[in-house]
Amino acid sequence: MSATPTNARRDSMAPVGVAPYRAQPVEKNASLGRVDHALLGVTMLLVAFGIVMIYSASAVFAEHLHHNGQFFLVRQTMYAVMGFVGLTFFAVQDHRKLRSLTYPMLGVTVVLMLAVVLGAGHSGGGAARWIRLGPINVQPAEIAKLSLIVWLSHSLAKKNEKIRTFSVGFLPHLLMAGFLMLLCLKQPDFGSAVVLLLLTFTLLFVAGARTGYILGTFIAAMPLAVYLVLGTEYRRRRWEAFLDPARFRSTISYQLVESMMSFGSGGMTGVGLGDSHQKLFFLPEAHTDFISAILGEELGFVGVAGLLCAYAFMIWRGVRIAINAADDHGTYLAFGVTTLLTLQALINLGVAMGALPTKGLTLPFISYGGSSLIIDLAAIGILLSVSRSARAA
Amino acid sequence: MKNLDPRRARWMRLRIGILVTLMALGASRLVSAAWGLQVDRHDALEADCERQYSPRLRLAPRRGTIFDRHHRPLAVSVPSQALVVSPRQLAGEQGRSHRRVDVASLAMRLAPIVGMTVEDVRHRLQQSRPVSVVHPGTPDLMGSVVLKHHLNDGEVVAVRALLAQMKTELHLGRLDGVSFEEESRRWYPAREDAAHITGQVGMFGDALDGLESTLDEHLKGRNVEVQGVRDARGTLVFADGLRPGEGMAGEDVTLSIDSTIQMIAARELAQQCQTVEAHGGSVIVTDPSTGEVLALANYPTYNPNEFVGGDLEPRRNRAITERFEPGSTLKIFTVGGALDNGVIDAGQLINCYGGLYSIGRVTIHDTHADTWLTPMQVLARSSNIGAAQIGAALGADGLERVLRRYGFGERTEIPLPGEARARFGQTRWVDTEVATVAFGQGINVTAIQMAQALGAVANQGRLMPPLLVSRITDPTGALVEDHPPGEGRAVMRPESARLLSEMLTAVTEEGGTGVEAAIPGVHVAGKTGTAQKANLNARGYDPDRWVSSFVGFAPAERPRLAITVIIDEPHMVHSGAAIAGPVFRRVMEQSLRYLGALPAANVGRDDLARLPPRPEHVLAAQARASAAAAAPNAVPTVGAAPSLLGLSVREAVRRAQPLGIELEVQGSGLVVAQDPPAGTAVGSDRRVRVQLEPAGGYTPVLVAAPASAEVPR
Repeated sequence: MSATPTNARRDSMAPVGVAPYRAQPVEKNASLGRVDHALLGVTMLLVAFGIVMIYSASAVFAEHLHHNGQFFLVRQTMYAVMGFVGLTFFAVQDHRKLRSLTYPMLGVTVVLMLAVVLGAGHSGGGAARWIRLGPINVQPAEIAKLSLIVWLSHSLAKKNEKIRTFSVGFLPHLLMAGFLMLLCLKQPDFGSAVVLLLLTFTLLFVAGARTGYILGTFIAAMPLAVYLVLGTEYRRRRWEAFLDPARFRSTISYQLVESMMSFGSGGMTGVGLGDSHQKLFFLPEAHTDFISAILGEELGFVGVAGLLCAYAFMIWRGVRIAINAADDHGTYLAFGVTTLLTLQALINLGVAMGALPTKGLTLPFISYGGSSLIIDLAAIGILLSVSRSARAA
Repeated sequence: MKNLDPRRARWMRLRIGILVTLMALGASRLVSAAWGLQVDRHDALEADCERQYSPRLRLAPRRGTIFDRHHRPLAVSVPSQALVVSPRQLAGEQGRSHRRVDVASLAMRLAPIVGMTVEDVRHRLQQSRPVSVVHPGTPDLMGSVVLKHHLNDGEVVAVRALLAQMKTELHLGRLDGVSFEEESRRWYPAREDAAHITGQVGMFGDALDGLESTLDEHLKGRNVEVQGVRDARGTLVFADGLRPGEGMAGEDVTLSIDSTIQMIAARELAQQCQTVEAHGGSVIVTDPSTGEVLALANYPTYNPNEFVGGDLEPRRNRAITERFEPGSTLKIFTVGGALDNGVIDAGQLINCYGGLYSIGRVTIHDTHADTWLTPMQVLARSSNIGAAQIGAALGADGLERVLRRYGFGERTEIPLPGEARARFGQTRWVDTEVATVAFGQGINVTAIQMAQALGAVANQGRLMPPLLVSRITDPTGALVEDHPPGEGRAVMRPESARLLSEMLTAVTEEGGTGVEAAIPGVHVAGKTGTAQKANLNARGYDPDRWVSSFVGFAPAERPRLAITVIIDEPHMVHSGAAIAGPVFRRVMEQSLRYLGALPAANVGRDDLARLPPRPEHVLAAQARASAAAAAPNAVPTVGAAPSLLGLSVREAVRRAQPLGIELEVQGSGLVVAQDPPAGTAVGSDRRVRVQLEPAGGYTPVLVAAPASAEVPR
């Protein structure tokens, strides 16, 4: 926790109970050129590194599937460009302007999610999670994560002190999150549902919701979660496979065991960039959810630790921006985005190393995938926007 | 949060702090997980990975060939194809088309082509990992199954046609998930005949038995040198230009076996064993001058081209793994040792007590009631009492040392797996044991030991260890190992061996026990053996279970082949002569004819029975025989003494007898002097004195001879 003394003193002088939205009107040109350059830098570094890793992991597979070794490389580069457009879109404007975009974003998300659930989706990996929009496949669950953060930030900032109440402060947020989670589960996408739930709890907790409500809901939700895991055949088998990967070596935990073997064979310094053996179809679709395994194999423990350091740096910048944000809306946005990226990274890596049961979550900025890369870059755009507001204030 | 009440902002910072701490805990858990996988478990996981992609597991090198002495293959690897199916790939989308192949219907269409039931195919496709982890050398494709090994050409064509058809039906550009894997299949041209020599290589390239097993290191080839990488679908990548088997083929092995003689031996043995309903049997044919094993066959046997189930009986290489009590055949070595050590001499008479003799609590019977017999007669009439007397003359130590000298009690170290030791007991033999061991009871031997010892008698007293592997060459033909016949070791004086050989020819002559083994026109030296088997449940011997044997060599004067025939538990008759003698005769006669070592005039009894001889051949042979008999130097003129110099006693007697001349023998060995000399007139008593002396270069075994026996110089 590193709030500078000057900021703290200025806080104490702010008038009590003033609505933030009205209290600090948007000033034109107030914050141009004041983005967090370090954050932008590490983001670009991660995206570039991700493209390299995707090329390494997918070249043989792409050659086999599309007779074009650069197939995924070219696409990911394209998505990165689109993502940076999105990043710039959010970064150049004041985050407070985003509040007017809250409900349109939520609406689009719900429509897309419903479309996927009701059958317009395109299946991949045993679940219907994609919807085809023109040339690209969109994964609405990814958009939902960002929309939920934007909506929660808006709503929590608006409710201000009433956040401590159950009916106004707690229940509506839970219901909205629950609705989006339900749509995720229908796809089915258990991993995204878990992320949505954790995001909601995190922001409610930060905003000052009663810990008792959160814990109570958590405890009340446990039987439901157990039912969801054990009641669904494929999820129960995944759980069993997580507990004993060797037993399901050739079936359900094939990917997991191959992934752990990849990490293991990397050793301390790795087999060298591009020299992975596991990507030769042993680890299926190595460029998407399990790209960290190829990273671990080619660059070793040093590479994995380096990646974790990059994320840690990113989180540190994110938390700093959240704390220094000009208003609580900015804090919620910044911390929500930071939490989203952290959760995605932790869960993805945890799954790949066998420390968590399998979830289909991408590794931010590194995994192949248009939706997730563009959304993650847009999220960074929001973070940068908040960082500018903080300095402007 | 600068717009907030400072107290609330402080709370918010605290809560953010708590959450960040949780994140840090999660991150540190990840670091420890990464350390655990990448540093602690690095070696094990790396090995797992390597097993997956390493070509070592996939490219089974071409196994070396096993040849017989004339470069005819006994075991050879021929390329074949395995059908590999990956259900995971089949069920996945096929290329860009997003089409799937229905695994169940594919199974239904594949089954009739590869000759399996639909259930079977479906079952194999469900177990998505092959059993091959424990069987290195097999296609070990992740998530794929070897549906069938060793497809024939027709099956390969049919499967290819089916795949093409499915591609058009499903409008697919390519169909992943069904492929052929190159492998090799072991082929044994001699089938059952040489099964116990070659052994067998299993379905997964693992050597199961025989020379395949003992010479596996040479045959299997080296397979670690190749740097190539296989992907999960089994395709070799990053190793262009490398073909399976290239540069890492196994070494070729050349044996001393002659596959023709091997075939003769195996078939004659099997035929006889079936006729007499024997439990089992063995035949070993050696070249006594080198110790080379020309044939080694057992009954029952198996076809190494097929997978043999759990029945181990046909797999047993009885010739080297089975211990048995030899019975009378061991008398050869008792008598040989006694002669060689001068404990007895050729003309000595041995008391046989009229066929009934008691020693201690044991009573020994003879089939013929004889009183006094010469050593030759002891052998010819197979007198147990006579042999016991000779054994007693040698004494316990003497007999044991003699038998050890002939190689009994130790392994012959023939390079086949599982040779039995057949050791002697630890305690010194007492009198009754000496008596029974002397005629082959109470001692265990193996057929290969017997063949080795017999070879020593045939090879003028030099024992040659059995030689099976002649040489090993690498794929380029360069010599890796060479095993020429060794020097052997002298176990008896050449003239003792010669004398013994002559005595043994009496066995197959009129009045001997082994006339069934006689071959017209050839002197056969041999000995029958009929031994009761020890009772499994009680002391003593089982009256119904016998081991019948015949061991011998021919031609006796200059042996080309030595043959050991053992037949275990024949059901009809049990005498060694009747059971094993005919096998010996047939194998010997056919093999000698094959080697061109039979006199032209020879027309065997079996040939008469089987083929009507062409009259002109018989007439020509008779003419040649009479011409030879009429040759001037064959029979010396009546009245003059024949030249006996350089002959053994038996040869001298044989030459002198038709002339009505009696010999007065002094010493042992070969004739060095005679009186009167050759060509001069024999006196009125028609006696010729001959002086014999041992041939040089040999020191007899020193045995403590009993005081009663006369020790000649």
